[in-house]
Amino acid sequence: AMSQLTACAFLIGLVIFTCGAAADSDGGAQLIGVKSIANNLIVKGMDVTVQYDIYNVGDKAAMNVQLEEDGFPIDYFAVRSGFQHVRWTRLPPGANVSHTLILTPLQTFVFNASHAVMRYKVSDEATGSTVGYTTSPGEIAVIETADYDRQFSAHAMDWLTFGMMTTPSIIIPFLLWYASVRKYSNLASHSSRKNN
Amino acid sequence: MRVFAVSVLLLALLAFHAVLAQESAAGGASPEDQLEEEGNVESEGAERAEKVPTGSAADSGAGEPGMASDTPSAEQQDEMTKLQLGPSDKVQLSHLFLYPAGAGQVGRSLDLPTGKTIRVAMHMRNKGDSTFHVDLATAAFRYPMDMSYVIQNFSTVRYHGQDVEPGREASFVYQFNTDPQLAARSFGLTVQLGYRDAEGKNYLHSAINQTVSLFEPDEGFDGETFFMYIFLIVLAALACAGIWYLLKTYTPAKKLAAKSRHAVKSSKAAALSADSADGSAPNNNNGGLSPGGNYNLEWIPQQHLDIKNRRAKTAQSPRQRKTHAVAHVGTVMIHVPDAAVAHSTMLRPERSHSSAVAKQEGCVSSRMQAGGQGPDAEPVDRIAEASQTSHKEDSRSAIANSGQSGQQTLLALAAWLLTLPGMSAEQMAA
Repeated sequence: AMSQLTACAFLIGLVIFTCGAAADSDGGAQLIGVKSIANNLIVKGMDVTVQYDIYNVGDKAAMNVQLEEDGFPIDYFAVRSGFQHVRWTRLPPGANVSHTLILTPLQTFVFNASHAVMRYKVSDEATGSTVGYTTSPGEIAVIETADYDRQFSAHAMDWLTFGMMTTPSIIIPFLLWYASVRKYSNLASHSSRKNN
Repeated sequence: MRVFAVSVLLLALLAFHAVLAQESAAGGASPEDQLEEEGNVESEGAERAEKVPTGSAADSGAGEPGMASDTPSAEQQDEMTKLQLGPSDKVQLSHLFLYPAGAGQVGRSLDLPTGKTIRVAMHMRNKGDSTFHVDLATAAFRYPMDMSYVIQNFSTVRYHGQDVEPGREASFVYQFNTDPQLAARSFGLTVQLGYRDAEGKNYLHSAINQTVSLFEPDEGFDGETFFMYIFLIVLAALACAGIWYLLKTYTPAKKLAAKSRHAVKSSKAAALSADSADGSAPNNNNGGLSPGGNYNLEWIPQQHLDIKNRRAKTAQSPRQRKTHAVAHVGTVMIHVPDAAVAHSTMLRPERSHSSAVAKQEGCVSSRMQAGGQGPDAEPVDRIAEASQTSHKEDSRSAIANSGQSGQQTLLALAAWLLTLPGMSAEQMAA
């Protein structure tokens, strides 16, 4: 019985050792943070959508995940919707989360959008937080509202003015033609009535 | 018995562990290779790979699909030593495909679509003591059997020396476009991250180094094919229309004559019945059509159609005929029904209807006399009037026809002078 017990203990130890050997050296959570700007054009006074995607590509759940965005100064951007400091309690392995931040540029400038900071614990038993950086969108140029409108607005007043200016060239020949048609159709109907 | 079972289990576990150890031993020829393999194993773990040995002992950088734990081949090591760029052992890389999502994960081979933008995120962990500065990322399609042979290089993306402090991590996104003309085949894909340490030494670290197979994605709606079908349908319709038009144009004349005759009969039925009482219209037995039946004769004034009643060669000159016409209104329209009569009255409204008719008939008689044919019975007063006009007419013709000698000219002039009083009297009577 004693030999069996030692054999079992050895077995269990071997299993644990095997598992440990085959496992990753770190074996914790790994978070990939992707920060992207959803807009094609960034216009002063119009909304800019910043999207954060966090993927857990590690083996264990990431605990106490925090996303901190301090890269948009308050005098250049006004926050319309969303939070700049977000926290998730737990991010399981293989899962991902998204967060959106909507801003409005207050000025026209070229801006260097830098990375946001993630803090998380690689596992339950980890002591300290790991700091990670998200991706950087890079340089973004904020354009004037007038430039945007020139390209994309409906130009309703312009079309109205154009219509008013081209109306005489169309109406006058039409009136002449209409008067002529009426006169000769009346003549034709009179003559046919006389003949009949 | 129990001991036997326990021992068998023990042996199995030993074998399991031995194989694992062999795997790590085979891969760990050098510290950096071991770390690279470790990094790859990390990525394998990141992709939720099972911890089952898959014969990686035999694999020495041949790049089998699904295997992330490739060791650099001899050529690769040569290349790296030549460029003196290799991975740093203080850095741990892993990756994740953003598009197509889930590519290369456990249970799925790494298949990439052609003609699309492939996005991959790379994760870098700094396990060293000094800051690393990440400069760039690059990728290449290589020959799967020989990873040192580059088929296609992709653009280099710059990260402008992003700092990764000791103990910290950073993410980087790299994207590249697969050419739509690349046939469905397999390539060796390498995605490398270039960084330098605090001393300025450069490193080139492969985040992805495996075989991928490209496939052509199935597009739902092909605009080219759709519009091609529309074009073919329109061509067929055009051909049908052309054949119909040809058949219509070149059908026998009989069919057309029958159609037009029917049309003429239906439209002119009332008019013909009105004229039949008058009895002036000649009976055209073709129903108002030409003898060939090609066109409608109803609208042509009858004097052009009655060829028998045409003037002989001794016709008047146009000038004389015009004067004659002015004096005798309505010369042209004789056998046409009442519409012509109304027209003649419109031209000379001061004349009465009856006188106009009389003039017409008088003119008829005069023309008949000139032509030598005509109706036999005529009232006397008309004859008298006609003779007056015909006398004037003869004088006119006399003047026109003379011109052979001066004497004849003088005689003609005298005759004309004589007719002058007659003309003026007639005009006063009108």
